[in-house]
Amino acid sequence: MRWVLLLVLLAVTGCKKAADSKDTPKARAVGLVTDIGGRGDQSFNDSALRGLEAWAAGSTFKGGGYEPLTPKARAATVPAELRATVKPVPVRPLVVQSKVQEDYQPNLQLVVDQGASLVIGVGFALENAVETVAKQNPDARFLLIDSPVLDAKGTPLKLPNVRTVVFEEHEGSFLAGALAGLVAKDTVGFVGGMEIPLITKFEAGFKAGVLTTNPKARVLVQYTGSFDNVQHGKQAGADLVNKGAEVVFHAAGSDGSGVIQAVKEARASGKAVFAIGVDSDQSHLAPEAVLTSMVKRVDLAVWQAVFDLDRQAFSAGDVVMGLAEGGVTLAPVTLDFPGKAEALTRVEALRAAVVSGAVVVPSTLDALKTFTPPASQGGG
Amino acid sequence: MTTIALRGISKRFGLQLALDDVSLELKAGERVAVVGENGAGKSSLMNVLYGLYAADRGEVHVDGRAVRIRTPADALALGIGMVHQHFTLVPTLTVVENVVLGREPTRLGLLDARRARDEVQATCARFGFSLDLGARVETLTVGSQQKVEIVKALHRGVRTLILDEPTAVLTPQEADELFSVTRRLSDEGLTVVLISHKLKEVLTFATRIAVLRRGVKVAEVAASASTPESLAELMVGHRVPTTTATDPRPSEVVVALEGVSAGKLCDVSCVIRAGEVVGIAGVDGNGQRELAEVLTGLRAVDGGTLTLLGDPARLNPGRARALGVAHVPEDRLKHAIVGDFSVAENVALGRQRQAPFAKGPRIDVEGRLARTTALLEAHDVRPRSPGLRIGALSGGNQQKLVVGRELDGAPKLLVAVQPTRGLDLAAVDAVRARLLDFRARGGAVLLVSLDLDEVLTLSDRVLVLHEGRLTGEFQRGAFDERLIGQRMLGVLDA
Amino acid sequence: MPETASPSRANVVLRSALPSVLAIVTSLVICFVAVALLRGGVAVAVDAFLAMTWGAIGDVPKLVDGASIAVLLRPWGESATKAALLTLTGLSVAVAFRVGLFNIGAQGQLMVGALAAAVVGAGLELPPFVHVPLCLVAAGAAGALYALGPAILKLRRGVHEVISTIMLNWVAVSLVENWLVPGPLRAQVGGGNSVAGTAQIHESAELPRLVGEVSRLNAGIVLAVGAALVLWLWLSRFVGGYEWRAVGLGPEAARAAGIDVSGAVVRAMVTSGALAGLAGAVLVLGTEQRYPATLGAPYGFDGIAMALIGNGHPLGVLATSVLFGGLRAGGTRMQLFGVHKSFPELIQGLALLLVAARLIWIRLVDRLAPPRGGGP
Repeated sequence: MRWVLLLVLLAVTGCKKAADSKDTPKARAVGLVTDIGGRGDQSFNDSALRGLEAWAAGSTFKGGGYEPLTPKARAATVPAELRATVKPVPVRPLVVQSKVQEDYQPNLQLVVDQGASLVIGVGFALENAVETVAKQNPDARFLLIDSPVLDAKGTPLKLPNVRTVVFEEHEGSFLAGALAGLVAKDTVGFVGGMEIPLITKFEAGFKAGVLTTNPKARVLVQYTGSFDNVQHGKQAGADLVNKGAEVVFHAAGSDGSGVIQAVKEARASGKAVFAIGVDSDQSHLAPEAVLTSMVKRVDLAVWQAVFDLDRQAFSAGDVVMGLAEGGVTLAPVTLDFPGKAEALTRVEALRAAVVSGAVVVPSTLDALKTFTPPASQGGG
Repeated sequence: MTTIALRGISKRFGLQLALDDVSLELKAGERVAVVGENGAGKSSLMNVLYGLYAADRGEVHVDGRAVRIRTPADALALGIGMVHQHFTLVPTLTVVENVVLGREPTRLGLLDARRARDEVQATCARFGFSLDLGARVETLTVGSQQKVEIVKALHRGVRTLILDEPTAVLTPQEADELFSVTRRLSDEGLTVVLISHKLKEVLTFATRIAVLRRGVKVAEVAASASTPESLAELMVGHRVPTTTATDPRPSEVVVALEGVSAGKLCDVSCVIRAGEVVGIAGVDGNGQRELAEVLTGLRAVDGGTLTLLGDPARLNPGRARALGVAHVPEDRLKHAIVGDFSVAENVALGRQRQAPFAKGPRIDVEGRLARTTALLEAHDVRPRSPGLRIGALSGGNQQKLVVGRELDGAPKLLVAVQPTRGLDLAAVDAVRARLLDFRARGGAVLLVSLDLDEVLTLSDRVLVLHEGRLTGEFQRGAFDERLIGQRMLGVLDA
Repeated sequence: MPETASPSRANVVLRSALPSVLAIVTSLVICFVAVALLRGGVAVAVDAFLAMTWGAIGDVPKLVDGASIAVLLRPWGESATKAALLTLTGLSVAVAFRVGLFNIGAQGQLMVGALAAAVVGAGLELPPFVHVPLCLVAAGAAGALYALGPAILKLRRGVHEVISTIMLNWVAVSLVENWLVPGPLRAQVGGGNSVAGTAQIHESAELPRLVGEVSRLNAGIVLAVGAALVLWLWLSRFVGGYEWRAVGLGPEAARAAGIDVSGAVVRAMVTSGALAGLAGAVLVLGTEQRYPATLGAPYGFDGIAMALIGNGHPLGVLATSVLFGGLRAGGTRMQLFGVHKSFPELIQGLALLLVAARLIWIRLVDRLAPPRGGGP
């Protein structure tokens, strides 16, 4: 039946020689394989694509092809504090979106076969596939986002041609908690997805932050048990608001948009309550309700790797990106609340303290028990 | 005045010429019968008139004007209606809903149920039909469903009504009723066309008879100048021997019922012996179906005992078959054959696990083919194509095959329900001959038929069923049609 | 009526396969035109379709240019993996069709089968020649049990299998993906690291790779082809299969013929579930090595398409699945030409739509070549 297909092709077009010949290798190709979320997920994949397509290549993907961005349009995609650092890199993006789990491996291989100098796997779901393909293609270079390479037993593993990036979410959550403590009088809330180490890390950092700026405040915690159920998130969010939470921070994937929705509805009915988003700036979901978001700068990690590649400085190994490296941060606070200026100053001071190493943010709930909040400086 | 004229109609299906230059005139108020064997083209001719088939050649004139009838809707618009052998009713809708379907009286866009009912009531009253208008069609007997079809056509105000084998499913009383209705219709100026091969009814019904044979109109005769024999000769082209039963030689009891109740069937006791045909006379829906189902294991007995070959039996269809009960069911397409199976696969049905149809767990394709070929030959089933989808065979050939298959395994008892319904004359004769032949070889036959003539012709003994009870028993030689008719209607003393 | 010979075998095959073939060709042409229009030129469309072809059957031009045999073997592996999954789920749906049931639940049966394979594969340590079959049996049994429920509900209570199997799909999602996989069966790993899905299966449970590590071509396709052949033989050569077909085509006639209709329905539905369960096993033992966080791919639903386009015939299902397995594996490469990622599925969906219009095709075919011996 394939021959039928071929015949149809030939009949429609007349004989034509094989593809692949019109590649103009003016810029080196950088491959990127999304997870099943794909382009347009408003989260990890989009962030990674931004790092490669807009920040590095200075282009935008439109209607199936790339169009160059004007310098101004490109700059608009980069946060103000990074504009000086993030320079264009002459590369050609080669993006393959995965539709199903079992396609990760062939898709990575496909990009390698297309001659990509660097292959980026977005998301921890690609861990296994990156490991396999990296081993089979020792000459290719890889970047794995959000997970170290693990062996079958789950122990981290080093490969000479793979750079992995993980984020210190607890540090970002710490700032989120600090801000929440400053905004709320006596109660804040945290909604987690599943109760797993990856998420309790957020909880620990967040609680530490609250403890630092508002030691008397209660932190209400609820786990939804899922990452893909908006309804669960909405229920949990509404619950916490009813119990008096004034700021609710979530780390619950898609459930989180339910949390934000619950907060938005509570605001509409007159309650003074805020939400804090996660992963990317979620203020577009409810501009009047989202105070800030704990942003993971996947775009920066991707750009960094591409940049390193271009100046022949790409290195394998595990990279940890925390506040110091700009890997996690708070999205700009655009909403107004009483004492905003002092609060932001205080949060900036705490960021500096973490960056300098003066404060070590606990990454587990156990570590939280022995955490002593730094003394407040400059009155607050 | 001529109302409708068909001129030089020809129609070809593949290689077969179904109609060859056929002309026919239908005058207002006339009752015309179109007779012929199955495949003679009589249905095709009327289907052309009704817009179901497009003629390859020829013209249709209505009131002297040439018309093009492309669809049944065109035909209906010209006042031509047709009632088919296969019903076109929606089983889950009521009688009223079926009758008004497609031209429902509405109020505010909704079905105006009351007006619909009144209108249908009026139509029924006008033409003398009594129907439970609120009943869902699926709950009606086949006979009543046919009436609904006729009422539906009349309700559309047709001036020419074509009836395709209408009496195949009716009781004698119902058939008489139908014919008196058609007479009334023609008196009112409607033209009624009857497609049939039942010669007796054709002669009672029609004023004029057109005879078709192999797509050609071979004769057009006045009913008054015809006899069943002369018509049969015209149809078949040679003299047809009429079937008659020989003397019975009943011997041992094959099956005995003792106070059996099952569904509609109530406290029935009777025996059927080897070497006799026991006919069941009754109006449709009086327990015949249940009786046949009990004997073939399709229905469990609610009370009483069933003794088969001396042993009390609890039957299911498989066990009944194993014990030697053969079954020619009423609804051939539903219960006897699988329409999408080949002829050979249908021959194996019921004995698929036995030689020569199986070798261990595997199908014995060779054995099956050999047996099928033999059966096709022995029972003159055409075409002789074991690999053909059985659905492509004509009804008569399907039935010959079913009867042949059922009698092939040397059964003890044959339960035959309406075995000749809707078949052409030659097939009717063939099937009847097989039943009598089986009896002659010592088989027991239970014959259920709504065609009382058939019951009286073939049976050695007639049992009458009314509302599930036996209301009479008659021996051959003592058949009294009038008395049997009364018993069928539940009149015990007259 | 004229005497007609039985239509020749080739003729029968052709007549029954033609609507599907025409539907597939038409949908390919439509998609080709769509790509040409959307991507601004026939040349791009040709490039994209050629890329898809090479992605499906192996990159022949590259091989000619002197690349390693891997450019051939890798695409084979991906096409074969997808073909195996589609074949097994397609057979699952088709076998239920054959007794007149519409099993919409292949997806749920696939999920429980995949989970069973993952659990047995990771939980036991056995030599490969025992371990792999044991995992397959476990997956088949899980899928079979999962399909048994709807069959019994249908026979005992008259619950329509479409309803019950659809609902059981959701139960499977909740049970497997919302509870067992992220909960009790989640892989236990050290440190703060997080692994999605269940524990990795032992190497002894992996489906053997047919051409080594260079390609993922594994025994799954052998299993699928075997299943199709066995099912074909069963339906065409064995009395049991004949009885299933009789039940599907004429349940009343089958009952009157003394066939155990309930038994046939139960056995066919159990077979259907087992086949879907095996598909889950092929996914887990062949490529994933664990039950992932979510299965993602709706192969169970694709199976419905395979069964319909394949005309319910085991070999038709196999042919259809091999074709679409290839199209979908190779179709990823169309993304390199800016073609939207969903095009391979679009081709499949269009073909299904056109097959659903089978009656129109048949009428068209009949008009072009009227069947002999027809008539009223």
